[in-house]
Amino acid sequence: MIKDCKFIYFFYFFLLFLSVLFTITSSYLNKILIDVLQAQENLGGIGTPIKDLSLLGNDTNILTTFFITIFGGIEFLSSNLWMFAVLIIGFALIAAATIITRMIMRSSFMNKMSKNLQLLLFSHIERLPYSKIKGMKNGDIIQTCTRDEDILRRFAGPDIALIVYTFYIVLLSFIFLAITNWMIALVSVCVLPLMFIYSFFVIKEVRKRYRLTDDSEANMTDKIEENLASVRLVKAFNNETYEINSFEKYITDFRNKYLNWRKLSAFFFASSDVFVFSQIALTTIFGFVLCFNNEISVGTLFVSFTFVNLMVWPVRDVATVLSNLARANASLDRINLILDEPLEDTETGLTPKIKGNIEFNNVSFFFCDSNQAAIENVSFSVKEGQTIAIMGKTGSGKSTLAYLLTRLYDYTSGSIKINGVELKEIQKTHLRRNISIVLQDPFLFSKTIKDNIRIAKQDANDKDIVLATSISQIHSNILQFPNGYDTPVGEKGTTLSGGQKQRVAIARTLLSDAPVLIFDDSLSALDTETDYNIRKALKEKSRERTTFIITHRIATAKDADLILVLDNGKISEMGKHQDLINQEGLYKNIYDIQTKME
Amino acid sequence: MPVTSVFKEEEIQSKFSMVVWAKTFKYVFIKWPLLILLFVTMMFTSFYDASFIPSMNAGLISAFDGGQLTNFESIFDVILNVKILGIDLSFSFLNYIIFYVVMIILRSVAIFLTFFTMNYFEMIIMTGLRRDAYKRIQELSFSYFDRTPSGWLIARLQNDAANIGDVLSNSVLRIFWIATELVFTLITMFSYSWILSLIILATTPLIFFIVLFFQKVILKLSRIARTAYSEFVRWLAESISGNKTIKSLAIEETIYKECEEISTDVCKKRFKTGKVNAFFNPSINVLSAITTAIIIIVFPMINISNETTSTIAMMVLFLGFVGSIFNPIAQFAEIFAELISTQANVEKLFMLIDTKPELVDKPEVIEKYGSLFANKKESFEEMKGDITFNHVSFSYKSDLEVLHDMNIHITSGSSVAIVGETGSGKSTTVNLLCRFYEPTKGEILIDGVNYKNRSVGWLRSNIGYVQQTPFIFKGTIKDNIKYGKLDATDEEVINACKVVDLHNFIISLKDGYNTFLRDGGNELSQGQKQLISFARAIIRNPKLLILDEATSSIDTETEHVIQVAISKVLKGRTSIMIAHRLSTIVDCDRILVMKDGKIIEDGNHKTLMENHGYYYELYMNQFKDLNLEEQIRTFDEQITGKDVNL
Repeated sequence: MIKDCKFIYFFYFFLLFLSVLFTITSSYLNKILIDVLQAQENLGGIGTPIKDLSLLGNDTNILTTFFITIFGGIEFLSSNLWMFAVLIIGFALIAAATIITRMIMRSSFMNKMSKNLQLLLFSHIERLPYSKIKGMKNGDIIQTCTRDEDILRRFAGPDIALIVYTFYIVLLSFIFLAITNWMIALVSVCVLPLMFIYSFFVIKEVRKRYRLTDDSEANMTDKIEENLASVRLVKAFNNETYEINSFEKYITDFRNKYLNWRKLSAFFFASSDVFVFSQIALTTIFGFVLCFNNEISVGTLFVSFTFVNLMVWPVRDVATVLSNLARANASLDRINLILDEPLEDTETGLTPKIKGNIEFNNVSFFFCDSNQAAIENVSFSVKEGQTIAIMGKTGSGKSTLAYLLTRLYDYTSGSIKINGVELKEIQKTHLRRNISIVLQDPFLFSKTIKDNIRIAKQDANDKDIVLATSISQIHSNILQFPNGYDTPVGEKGTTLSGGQKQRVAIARTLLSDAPVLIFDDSLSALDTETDYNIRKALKEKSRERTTFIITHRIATAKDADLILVLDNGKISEMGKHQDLINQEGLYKNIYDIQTKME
Repeated sequence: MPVTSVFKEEEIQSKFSMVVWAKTFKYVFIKWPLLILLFVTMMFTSFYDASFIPSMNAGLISAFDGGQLTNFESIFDVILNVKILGIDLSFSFLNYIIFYVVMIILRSVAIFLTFFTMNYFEMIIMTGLRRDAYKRIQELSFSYFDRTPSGWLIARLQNDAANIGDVLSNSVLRIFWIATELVFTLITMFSYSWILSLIILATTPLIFFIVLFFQKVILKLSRIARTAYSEFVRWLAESISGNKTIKSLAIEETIYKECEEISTDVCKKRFKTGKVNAFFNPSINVLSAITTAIIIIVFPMINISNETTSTIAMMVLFLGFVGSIFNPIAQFAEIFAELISTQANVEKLFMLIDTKPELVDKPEVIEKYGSLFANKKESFEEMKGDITFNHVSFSYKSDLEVLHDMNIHITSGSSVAIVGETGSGKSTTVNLLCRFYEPTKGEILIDGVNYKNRSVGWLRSNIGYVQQTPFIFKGTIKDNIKYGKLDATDEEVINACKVVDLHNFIISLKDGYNTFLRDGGNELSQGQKQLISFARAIIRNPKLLILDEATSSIDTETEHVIQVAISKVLKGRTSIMIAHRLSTIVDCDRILVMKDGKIIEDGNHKTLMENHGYYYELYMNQFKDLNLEEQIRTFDEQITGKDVNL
């Protein structure tokens, strides 16, 4: 991620360096100003021109000489004190410009990086094999894409910036002071390492207690959610008082953990303030001694406590950030865990012209964590244009068989040939565009009905869409919605009934005009009449399409060219309606009941 | 079916209102001694930062005035004159150091107390608000929950309470801190030089408005960015659940493009916030540089030194004052912006806390039977379980009647099922019977007495209620069953479980009755969870058992087990079962078929089926939707088994 914007990242740190440099220089100018004023006081009053640099205090050095020379020399500066005012504003403006530039850059690359990471993660998740993603918890995936990504983004943005900023400020302050006087330089940083180590460790404990508090608060929220979800029970059982009392327990637990945490965090601030103010006091007092002994000027005394003030606070904050490093690491690990999963290969493979001749030969399939076959030695063959009905009890392998055809699962042994080409050789995207399945639990996206229908075929025109919705018997329903085809559905729109959803999903699938169509129990969610009309319309529109229908309705199955009855992954009965009702078995049994119940 | 109105989120107000905030103050004032302590420690910290440190530094620098230091042989002979808050103090160098060190320690103690007390207030406010809101939720009537999505309520208790706690303690209480800091800075400034002080003061309104402007804009923009981000999270969740569909339609490319669009939107909106944010600090820095520059220019024009403070010390002091006056002013503006943005939270939370429950007992009933929170069980009459609906009509909203002039009489001890399609009024009937709602017209008599003349507590202590989706509380199996009777003994728990055939399963678990259930009891099957609900209802030994679609969410595998349990628990009590799935009610003594708020058929399974009426129609429609094995079994049990002649 960082590689993509390496240049901009380094340029950003360069700007950060410049802004620190300007801040430090600007403060250093105050030292020169004070020394000039002090010298003038000694010479007879503010405004007296100073002729010589040597009159300017006892620690004149390269820096002071340099600054005084480039800004017009000591005589000019001392007789025109307003120059300092101009310089201070000038530096502030330059510093502001660099800060603004770098902040904008930071925001830009931080957000771009975040976007890239989101995209990278999503495109990876989207392309994981179905069997893999089925085994992952949706909540975990979303956490990684949101919280972990956020932690990394903060780390790569503000956190690293703070670390580098602190490094620069300590380094430059120290250099400026050391050039002026090495003793004051050493004294002004001597408490910092101690404070850093102290903070680093105490913060760890503070965070531990914070986490306990956070957990306790989460428990409290769970309790609130539980109470709201069970409101009928609470009232029906007249347990209001009990609920209030048990909530009180959560409050007490939270309160104790919260106070425990806050006690330590307040102690941390108070105790690290001792370091902070000791550092300031030490510098002030030691600076005074050096000043008394004529080692440094009053201006240096002033600038040293300005610098100390610039240094101490960020150092404490860096300790906080670094003690939090483990969290960023854990987030990175979780992100890599997803990114390291091998992707489903949807792109390589043959792209033969697919027609509906399909041959199953001894096909078996095992789920990876099971030694019980979900599909066992299934063999049958289908010709283009035929309709195949699949029946069987729950768990008999009907849906699994359909998933094998679209390669949501890959069969373990045997062979499936489509127009003579082995299914496993065919590119998955190509295959899925040609073998369309209407799932049992169809999923509609939070879009308009129209966008949902044409999601797989964006360039479909209105005529194609109406044709598909007419076949799936939903066109007239859609027109009844207030916004017709532009009615939004899903979470943020109109709630469709199960049957309406199912028919929209059928239209969506039909739009792709695939030569092989699978209805995974999706017609049987509709009433018998709609079921019949859809099948009739389908037959009329396209005679060469091969259709698989998983159903529990004899009425639906009986017109099929081939009926398969599955039992425990094996074919227990196979044939046409007339053959099957003349032999004992599940099919005949159901047939008898359903005719009586018609 | 209750009409759930779409809950409208109120517009966020942008004008500060003291009235709104006043409601929160009682949570703070109950701890007034702490409040005083807080003010004292804040005052001390402000004094240290705003007066003590600058004055000490000025005293040190003044010592160099006119080369007087050369008069001293040793540094310990030096006398330092420090002017704090206009009071002149003289220290030897050693005393100066001691004074300094003592003050550092005192400040640390003060800052500890300040932070801790502020946090303590945060906790008190947060838990106080949550406690009150939670208590109110327990009291509120059902109609409130129909109108209000639980997500909204959770947001109030969760986010609003936390936000208000945070803002009150870290902003409102901090105002005092900032104010004292400002006062100390002003006193110190003016005690040194009023001209320079006025120059600095002149710029403060500008600072206030700059900060206020930025804060308002940034808050607004970041809210927009946050909304975009939550849209991304919503989209992400949707796309991950739709993964199977995405794959089978081979539309990975299209969905990826959507991801790109939506995360670009987030990126753009965040960047916009970032851009404005980038100007915030630098503009304050520039303003403070300008003020400094003005001081430098004015400085030589006036004579400002006095006996204790040298000209140089003055310079140093006022360079520092620029910063120390800007800080509190900026914080004031920040807090003000924060208050405005949190005001909506306060309003919403108090909207909840101030809601009055709609369904309450009459005062004379409370007098006799006690309130919802304190039942007077000794005056409860024993219930027989004879129910009469006398010309009962009901509407959730004034213009839409859902029950029309209903008359039923259910004799004590009979089992009655109410069936009908969604919206037929069957749930409403049960809602009225449990007194979750009261009839708009007519009356409901229990044992011949209008139930409004007895307390809600009396009625509900006689009801055993099982709802559609079995609910498992976080806790052990035993806790879950005891929820029906809080003081039940272990023996009673075991007996209840034996009745519903759950005992053997429970003791087969490693921890038996102490097995801890979390996440809504995910480790149990739906059927086992429902059996727990049954045990929970019958441990109350209720006179009136209400099964509110209790079998709807159960797969057919376990339906049989439930069926057996039901037939056992029905014995000896009046029971009302609402069922959408008809296969569960074929054994009932009496079936009431409802349509459009009226009872249109009344009889038992056999008579109603043979009648070929509305019940028959409902039954046949459902039969067709059953899967194969269900069809086979249902046919055996309910058609041939019940001797129904079709």
